[in-house]
Amino acid sequence: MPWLAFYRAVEVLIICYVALVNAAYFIFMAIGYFALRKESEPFSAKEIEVLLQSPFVPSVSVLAPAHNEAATIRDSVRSMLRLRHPRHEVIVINDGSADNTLAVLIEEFRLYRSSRVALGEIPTSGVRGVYESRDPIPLVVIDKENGGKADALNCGINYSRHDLFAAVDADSIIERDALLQISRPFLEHPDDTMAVGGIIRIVNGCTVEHGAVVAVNTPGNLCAQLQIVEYLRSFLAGRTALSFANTLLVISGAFGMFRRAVVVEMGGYRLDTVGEDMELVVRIHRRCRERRTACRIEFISDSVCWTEAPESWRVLRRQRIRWQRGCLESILFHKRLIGNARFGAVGLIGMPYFVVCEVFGPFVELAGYLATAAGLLSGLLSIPIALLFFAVSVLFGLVLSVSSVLLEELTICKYPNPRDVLRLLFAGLIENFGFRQVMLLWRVQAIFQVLRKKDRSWGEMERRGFQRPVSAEKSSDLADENTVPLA
Amino acid sequence: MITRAACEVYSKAFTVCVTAYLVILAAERLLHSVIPNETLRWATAFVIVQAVAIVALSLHLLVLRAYRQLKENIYEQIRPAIRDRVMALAFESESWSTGVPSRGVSRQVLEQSLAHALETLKASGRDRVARFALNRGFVAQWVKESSSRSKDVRKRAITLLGLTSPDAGKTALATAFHDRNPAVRIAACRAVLTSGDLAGAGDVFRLVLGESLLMRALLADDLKRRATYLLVNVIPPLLEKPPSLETARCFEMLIAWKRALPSFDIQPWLSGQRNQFLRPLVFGLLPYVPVDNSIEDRLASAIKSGELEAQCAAADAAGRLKRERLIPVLADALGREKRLALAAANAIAQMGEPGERYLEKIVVGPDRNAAAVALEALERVTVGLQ
Repeated sequence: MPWLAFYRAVEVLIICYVALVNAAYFIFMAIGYFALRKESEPFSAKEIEVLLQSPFVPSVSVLAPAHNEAATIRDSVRSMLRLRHPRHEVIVINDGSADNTLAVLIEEFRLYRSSRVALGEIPTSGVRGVYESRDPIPLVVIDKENGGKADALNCGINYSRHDLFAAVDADSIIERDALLQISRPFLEHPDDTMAVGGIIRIVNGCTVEHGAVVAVNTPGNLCAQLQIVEYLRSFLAGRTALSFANTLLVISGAFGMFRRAVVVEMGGYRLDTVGEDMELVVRIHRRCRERRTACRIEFISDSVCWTEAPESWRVLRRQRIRWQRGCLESILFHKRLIGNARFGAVGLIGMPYFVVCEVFGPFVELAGYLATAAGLLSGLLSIPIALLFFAVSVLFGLVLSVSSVLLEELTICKYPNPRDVLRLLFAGLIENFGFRQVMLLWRVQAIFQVLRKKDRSWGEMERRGFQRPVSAEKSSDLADENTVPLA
Repeated sequence: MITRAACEVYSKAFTVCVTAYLVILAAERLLHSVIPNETLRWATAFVIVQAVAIVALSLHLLVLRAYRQLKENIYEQIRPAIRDRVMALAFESESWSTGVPSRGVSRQVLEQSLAHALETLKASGRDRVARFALNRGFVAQWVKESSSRSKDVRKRAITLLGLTSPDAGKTALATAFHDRNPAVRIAACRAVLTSGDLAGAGDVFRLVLGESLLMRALLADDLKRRATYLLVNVIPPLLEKPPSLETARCFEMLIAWKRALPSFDIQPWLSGQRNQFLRPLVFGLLPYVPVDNSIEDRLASAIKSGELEAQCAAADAAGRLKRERLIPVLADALGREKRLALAAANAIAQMGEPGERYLEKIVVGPDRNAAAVALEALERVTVGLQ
C-alpha cells in the first residue's frame, strides 16, 4: 500500500531528524566539556581585591526593572548594592507598579526626588519621577508608567551613566563577585566584546540569608529538580559551546551585561516581542557583521545569578510558552541571517541550529511520538523502527541528561551534598519519561500562538521574599528570564 | 579566527563524537550474526550502547563524588598537623626533625601548607619557609613544573618560585614571560616585581603595555610600587617614540597610579594633529603634572573643539584644576551634546561658590536643556554627592 510506505518513510525521516538534533546536543556537550576545562579560572580572592581598587575596570549600571515587587524589592536592592565592583550604580525602574513598590523603596533607602538628567534618547513611556538616596549609596529609582520589561530597560539605559549596563531581574540573587566575574571579557577584549551572559542557577531548595545564597541544595519538588537538570544542560553544554564558537544568540534576561553605547546606537530593546533579550543579542551580531566589525558575545560560567524556578506545572507552562514564543519571534525578525554566509558562523551555524533544533525540532519530535504510538497501536509500525525511535529520542535524551549532571560535577561542582547529586541523577533519568514530552507540547503550542499572533501579555506575579529557604508548595509566576534551554 | 585553544577543543570533541559513532558501529557489527534484520540490529546497537553509556556515566559520577569525599577526609585528617609544623618552622624557628615525604597525599598537603605560608607570611617567617622549600627540593620541583603541560600547574609553580627563590627560578621565570597562557605570564610578572629586581620591573612594564587591559589592571598596583624607578628610567624613553597605542597605555597607567609627575612636560602633547587620539588621556594627566595659566587656553580650545572625548576630558580637567576663568566656556557647553553638558556642569560645580552662583543663573535661564543639567550638578553639590 503506497500510503503505508509513505508512513514508514515519514517515520524514518523523523527518526533521522531527531537523531540529528540529539547528535547536535551531544556535540555541544562534548565541546562544552572541553571548553569549560579550557576556560580561564574565575578571579581569585587576591585578584578580586586588586580589581576592586582598579580604575581600569569599566563602570557598570545595574538595571533592575520592577513591577509589583513590594515583597522582595528591599532585599533585592540591598543585595545589588552589596555587589562587589569598583564602580557600579543600581538603577531600579519601577514600571508602573500597582502595589507600593516605590513607597517601600523611598522609605527604606531615604530617597528624594532628584533632577537627574537622562543621557539617552531611546523612546519610552512617561517617566513620572527620578529618585536618588540621601545616603551615599549609588542607587537611582525611576518611577515610570507601565510599558513592559523592555521599555523599562530602555528607560534605565537612558538614565545610566556608565560604559556598561547589566540587565538583571529584580527577583534574582546575583552572587557578590558575579558582576566582576562577568566583566572579565570586557577586560580581556575591550574593543571586541559587546555582551556577556552569566549562568542562571535555580535557588529553590537553597538557603538564602540576607540576600545571599549561603547553602546550595536541591529542592524537594520534582518539577524544580527537573528544571535544574535542564538548566545544566542548557548552560554548561549549550551556551558554553555556542559561546566558544562565538555564535551565542541568547543571553538571559536575568543576568547579562552589555556595552551601553552599542545598544543605544541600535535603539535599545525591541518592544514588540517577549524575547527582547534574544532579539537584542541577534541584532548585535547582525549589526557587527553588517559593518564588518569584530564582535564577541560570550558566556561566563563563573558569574552566577540565582533565580526561582516555578514549582507548579501551570506556571511552568506559561513560562515555557513565553520562552518559545520569544525565540521564534527573534528568529522571524532576523530570518535574513539564516544560512547567510555573509553573517559568518552566526548565519551558518547559530541561526540554522535554532531553526532546526528549537523551531522545527519540537514539531518533528512530537510528531514522532504520536506517529510511533499510533503506529504501534494500529500495527502499522514495526517493532524495530519503534525501538530505533525510542533509542534516538528517549535513550539519547537520557544520555544527555546524565551527561549534564556529570558535566556539572566535573567542572563547577556546586552541590556539596552527595544526596543532591543523587537527586539530580534521578531527575536526569526520569526527565525523558514525560517531562521532556510535555515541554515539547508546550513549545509547539507557543509556535502556533506566534503564527496566530496571539496576545503577548506576561500575566500577574506573586513574590514571596528571600529571607526563608526557598521551597514553597505554591510557586510564583516568574519575571522575565529568557534562558531558552536548548534541549 | 581559529585559535590554538579552539583547535584543541574542537579536535577533542570531534574525537569523542567519532569514538561514540565507532562504538555504535562496532556494536552493530557484533550483532550481525545474531540479528539479521538491519533496522532491529541498529536499534539494538543504539539501545545497548546508550544503556551502557548511561550506566557508565552514572557510575562515574558516583565514584567521582565518593573519591572526592574520601580525599577530602584524608586531607582534613593530616592537614592540621602539617600546617602547625610549617607555622612552627616559620615563627619559632623549629627545625623539621623528620624526613619530608617524597610523594603521596602527605607531600601534597605539605606543599599546600608551604604555598599557603609563602602567600600569607611576610619578612623572616616567609624567609624561613622559603629556605626550607629550597633545601628540601620543593624549589627544584617547581622549576620542573614550570614547564608542565597544564597551565594551572605552570601558574602555581611560577607563583611559588616568585615567592621563594626568584634567583633559582630565573630561567623558568624568563620562559614564563612568554608563556602562551596569560595567567602564567601574569604570575611571572608578579614574581619579578616582588623580587625587587628593578631592571626586571622595567621589562614587566614594557611587556604589559602590549598585553590586555586585564593584565594591566591586575599588575598596575604592583608596578606602582616601582613607579619612582619607572618614571625616571623606563617611561621617558617610551614617550620619546612616535605616538602609538603603547603611548596611550602608558598614559593610562600614569593616570591609574595617580602619582605626581614633577618633571613631565605636558605641553608638546596638547598640540599637534598626530596626538589627537591621545588628547583625552593627556587631559586626564593634568591634575598630576605642573601646569601654568597657559593651560587654560588649551583647555578652552579643547572644550570648543568638535571631538567629544577630548571635550569631556578637558571639561573634567578644568573642574578638577578649579580654573574659574573657564566657567564661561564651560557654560557655553551646557546647551550642547548631553555628555559634554553634564561634564561641563559638574566641572562648574566643582569650582566652589563662583561656580554655584553661575549654575543658579543658568537654572533660571531660557535654555531648558542647560537648566536641567545645571540643576542636577547643583543638586549634587547640595546633597553632597559630588
